[in-house]
Amino acid sequence: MQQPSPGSRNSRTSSTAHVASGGPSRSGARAGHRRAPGALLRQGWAGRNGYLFILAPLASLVLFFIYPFLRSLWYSLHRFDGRASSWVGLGNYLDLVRDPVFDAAALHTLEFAVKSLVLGVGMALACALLIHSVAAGKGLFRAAFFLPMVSNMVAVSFLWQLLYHRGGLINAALRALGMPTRSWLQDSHTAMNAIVVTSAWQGFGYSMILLLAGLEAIPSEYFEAARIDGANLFQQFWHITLPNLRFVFLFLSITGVSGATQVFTQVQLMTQGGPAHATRTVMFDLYQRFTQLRLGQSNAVGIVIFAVLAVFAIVNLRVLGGGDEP
Amino acid sequence: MRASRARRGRWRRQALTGVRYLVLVIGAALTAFPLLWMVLASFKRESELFGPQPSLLPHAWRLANYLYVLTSLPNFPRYVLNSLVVTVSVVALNVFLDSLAAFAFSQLRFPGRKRIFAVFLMTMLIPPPTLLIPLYLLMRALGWLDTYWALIMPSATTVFGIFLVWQYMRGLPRDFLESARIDGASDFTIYRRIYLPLAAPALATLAVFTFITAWNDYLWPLVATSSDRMRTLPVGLAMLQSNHVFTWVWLMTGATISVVPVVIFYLFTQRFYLAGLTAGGIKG
Repeated sequence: MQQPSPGSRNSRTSSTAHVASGGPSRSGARAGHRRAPGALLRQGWAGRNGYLFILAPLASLVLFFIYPFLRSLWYSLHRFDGRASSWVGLGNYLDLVRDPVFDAAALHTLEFAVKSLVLGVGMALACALLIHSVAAGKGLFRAAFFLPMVSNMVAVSFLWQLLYHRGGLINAALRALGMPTRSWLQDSHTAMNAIVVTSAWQGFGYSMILLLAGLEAIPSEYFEAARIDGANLFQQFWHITLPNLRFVFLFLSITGVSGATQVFTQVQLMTQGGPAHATRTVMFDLYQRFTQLRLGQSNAVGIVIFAVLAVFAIVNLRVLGGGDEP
Repeated sequence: MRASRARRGRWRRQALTGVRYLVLVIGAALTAFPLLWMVLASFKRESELFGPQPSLLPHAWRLANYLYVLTSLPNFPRYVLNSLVVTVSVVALNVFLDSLAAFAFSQLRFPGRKRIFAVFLMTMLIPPPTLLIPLYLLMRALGWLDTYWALIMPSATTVFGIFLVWQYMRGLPRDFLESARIDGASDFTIYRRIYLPLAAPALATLAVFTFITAWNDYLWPLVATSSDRMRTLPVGLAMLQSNHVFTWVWLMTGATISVVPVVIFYLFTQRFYLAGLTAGGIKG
């Protein structure tokens, strides 16, 4: 392996550097960048390798992202059952807006997003604050809170279905405490909340890690200064901690909404979107239309999801940009 | 007088710390408990799961459930094999292809690299639901449905992976590149001999994170496979619910088999997995 010694090389080539830079210039690498004689030739040859090295990801991007995205737009403007297609323009989108089932899905996805964000980030913040404030055992607690994240959602769905069962553990615990029991997943009033709890349990570890990193980045001098000024714990939290976590909250809200549009596994396995569409999410709706061979509508749902997320991200980044100004 | 006040202050602080630890322990126990219940259930009889007072530990630890799931169910070992093949392939391809691209973007100079990189990053704006159906139709057109190709190729390289390694390689000095070039080494050799080994921490992070993500993937393998023998573990597990008499202990056994190895793997590679998660979330 070569041992670089830039110092010695600099003194040797400094006189030739001026000569070399008189040649055709390339974008980027220029004055101040020391060159050995003949470097331009090697530079050009290296340039082609750059393209070669990114060829596979580039091809993958075009084939598995850009092309399918454009095709999805195209399919969404047709009535399509997988074999035959006919042009309907915006017909699929109108159908979706007029379809009470899709409206229910959109509404319940929003409901899921809000509830799971509040619950998930709430739990995550509490755990992050606690872990941040103790001296020993951080790694152990972090690992424990993270276990659900590495468990696949199918296993998690079965597990919680068992826990929510009429004769299952949660009801048994409630009965022992003298509280009323419920058919959590079969009751349209509780089904979505049950799904939210399961999802928050599985995912809060992610938010916790990010919040923990955010907390550790806050300089302790802020808190010391506040304590000297007589601020209590709550005031410190409200005026120092929360504002400094602004960016993390923003990021979590974007990923939270994005995640809500992708909720599928637990809905399919635990409630099949019911009862009475109470737990139907847009991803589940998309999949259902797919299995019903309504591919035009299915693609339209996909495009709607993209549009909503794009708008949401842009709005959020505007807010972020505005927040930077004093 | 002053000494006792100071002592009271110390007691208060210690009590507060004790409360913090207590809450953390309770929280950790509550979080881990469902998983414990799942594992214990795999050793129980069906009847032990329900009723007014379900017991925590099984009356008699029995391996009958594992025997059934691994031998009597038509394809369960095959599900595990498929998951292994797909996951290992995806990890290997990502580690190689993503690092190669990251090396090109961070160390090599070629015109338009900044614009191309920006395009790469922008594709992350397209959410997976939007691509599900057209990807399925593309796989069908390519004849890749129900084969390993459909399961592996779309995830063979990810922009997130490239970004992860790029972030790390950006911090590596170009001196190695310069001097190796002067010694006449080709770019690929420079990548293979110098920058790839140097980026080992980032590669470990990528490998661990990709492994867990690929193993747990459900929706895409569900859509991309139709025959039972091509299913990956999560999909096969989900099918248990519909294809068989609803026996919870068997479902819990299957769930345990799909979760416990990953948990053990995670506990050994925690540092890398968490580094992978935070790479996208923290600015800079």
